[in-house]
Amino acid sequence: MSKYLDEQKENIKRVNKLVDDLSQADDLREKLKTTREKYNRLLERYEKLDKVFQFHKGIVQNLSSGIITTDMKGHITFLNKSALQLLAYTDKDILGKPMEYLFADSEQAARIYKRVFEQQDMYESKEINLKDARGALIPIGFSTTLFRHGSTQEGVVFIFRDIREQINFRRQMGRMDRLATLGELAAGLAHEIRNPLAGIKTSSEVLLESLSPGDFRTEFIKRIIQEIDRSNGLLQRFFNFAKPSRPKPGFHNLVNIVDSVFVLLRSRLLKRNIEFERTFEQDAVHIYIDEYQFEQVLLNLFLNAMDAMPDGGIIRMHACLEPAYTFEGREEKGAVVIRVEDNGHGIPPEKIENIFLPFYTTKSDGVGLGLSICTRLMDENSGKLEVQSKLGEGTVFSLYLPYVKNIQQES
Amino acid sequence: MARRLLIVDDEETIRFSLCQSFIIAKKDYEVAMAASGEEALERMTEKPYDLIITDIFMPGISGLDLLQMVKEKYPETEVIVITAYGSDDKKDEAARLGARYYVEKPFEIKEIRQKVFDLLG
Repeated sequence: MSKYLDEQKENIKRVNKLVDDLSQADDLREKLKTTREKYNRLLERYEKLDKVFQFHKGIVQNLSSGIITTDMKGHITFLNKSALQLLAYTDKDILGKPMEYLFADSEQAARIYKRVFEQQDMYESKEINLKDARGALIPIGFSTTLFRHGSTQEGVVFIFRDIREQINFRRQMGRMDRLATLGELAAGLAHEIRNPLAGIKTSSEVLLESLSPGDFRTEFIKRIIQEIDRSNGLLQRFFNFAKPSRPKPGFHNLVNIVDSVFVLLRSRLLKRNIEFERTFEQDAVHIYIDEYQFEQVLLNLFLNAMDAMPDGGIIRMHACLEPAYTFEGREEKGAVVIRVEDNGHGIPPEKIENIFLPFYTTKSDGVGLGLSICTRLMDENSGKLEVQSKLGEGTVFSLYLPYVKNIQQES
Repeated sequence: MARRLLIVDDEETIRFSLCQSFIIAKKDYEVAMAASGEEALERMTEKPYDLIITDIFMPGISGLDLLQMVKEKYPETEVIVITAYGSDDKKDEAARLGARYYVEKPFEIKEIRQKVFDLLG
C-alpha cells in the first residue's frame, strides 16, 4: 500500500512539477517575446544608424576636398578617397603613420604640429606643400578642426584642397601683369625716343635742303636720316612685340609655315652643325592661325633650341593631332600639337618657372622677350605653350592649337 | 597778307627745325612757335592763326584738347596733329575733333610741308 501511495505521491509531484513547468513556459514564452521585440527594435535602430553612418561616410568619402584625421599624437587614423587619390597612397601604407610624414618641409611640419597638437589651435586656409607617395610636391590649402568626445580631445581633422590649378592661374595672372607693364613701358619708351628722333630727323632734313647740290656733306646727312629711319623701324618692331596687333587667323598649311622659317635659319643651322628633322601627321597639317604670328613663335623656339646646342645637335619638330590632352593638370579638348625638341643642355628646374617672364634671360646678349612674346602670341591665337626639360638631355616645347575642322581645307 | 602758322610742341628741336623748314621754303608765311597748349591759346587770343601744327602729348593741355578748343573758338583755323605715340584710337579721335591731318613722328619734312602748302597755299 505504502508503495502504491508513494507511487501516487510521486505521480502527483510530477504532475505538479509539470504544471509548474508549464506555467513557467508561459513566462519564458513571454520573456522570449519581449526579448525578440527588443531585439527587433535594436535591429531597426541599428539599421537606421547604419544608414546615417553610410550617408555620412558617403559624403566624407566623396568630398572633392581631402580629409585626414589624426589622434592627438598626430598619427593618421583616417583618410578619405580624395586624400588617398591625391597623395597616391593606399590605406594600409599610411594609416597609423605620423601626419608629418606627408609634409614636404619638415620645419614647416614642426610648426604646424606645435600649433595644432600642443597649442590646440586651428588653421584656416594655410598653403603648404605635401609630398605624395612618389615624392612629388602637391601644393595644398588646408584648414584644421579639433574633434572631441565629451570633454576630451579625440583628434584633429585636416581638410585640404589641391591648389595647383589656382597657383597656375595666379602665375599666369602674374605673367599677364608683367606683360601689361611691358606694354606700357614700350609705349612710353617709343614716345620718348621718337621725339628726339623726330627732332634729329627734321633738323637733318632742313640742313640737307640748305646745302647746295653736290656738296660732299649731303651724303653724311642722308646717312644720318637713314639711320634714324632704321632706329625708328626697330622701335616699331619692339612696339609690335610688346603690344601685338590683333591676330588675323586663317587656314594655313603648317608645312609651308615651317618651311618659310627653316629658310631663314638654314645657313645658321649648317654653320652650327645642327640637323633639322620635321615630321607631320596627315591630320595636323592644316591649322587655323595668324601665320605671321605663328612664324614668329616658331622662329623664337628654333632660335632658342639652337642656342641650347652650341656644339651642334638636332632639332626635331613633330606635328600631330591629339584627341584630348592634359595641360597644367587640366583636361583639354582635342588639339593640333607641335613639339619642338632639342638635345641641348636643358633648363635647370629652378629656372624653368621664370623662362616665360618678360625680361628674364640667361643669355648674355638676350633681351628676355622671346618666350614671353611666344606665350602672348599663342594666347592671342587661342593656343597654349608648354615646356618640359631635362638638364643635360634637352628641352621640348609643345604648342597646342585648337583643332578647327575646316570643310574647305581639302579643296 | 601773310598766312599765319603756329607750331606747338614741347620738344624744342622739333619746334625749331619745323619753323626753319618753313623759313627756308621762302613762302610768305608768318611762323610762330609755342611750347605748350596754354601758350598756343594765349597766342591765338592775340591774333588767330590760319594753321596750327600741334603735338598730342604735352604737359598741361594736350594737343587733342587744344584741337577741340581751337575748333570751337576758331573754326576757320586748320589743325595738323603730330605724335610720337601713334594709335588708331588717337588718330580716330583727332579726325573726329576736326584735325585735317594726323602724322606720326618721326615724319618726312617734305610730307608735312606739302600738307601745309595744300592748306595755306
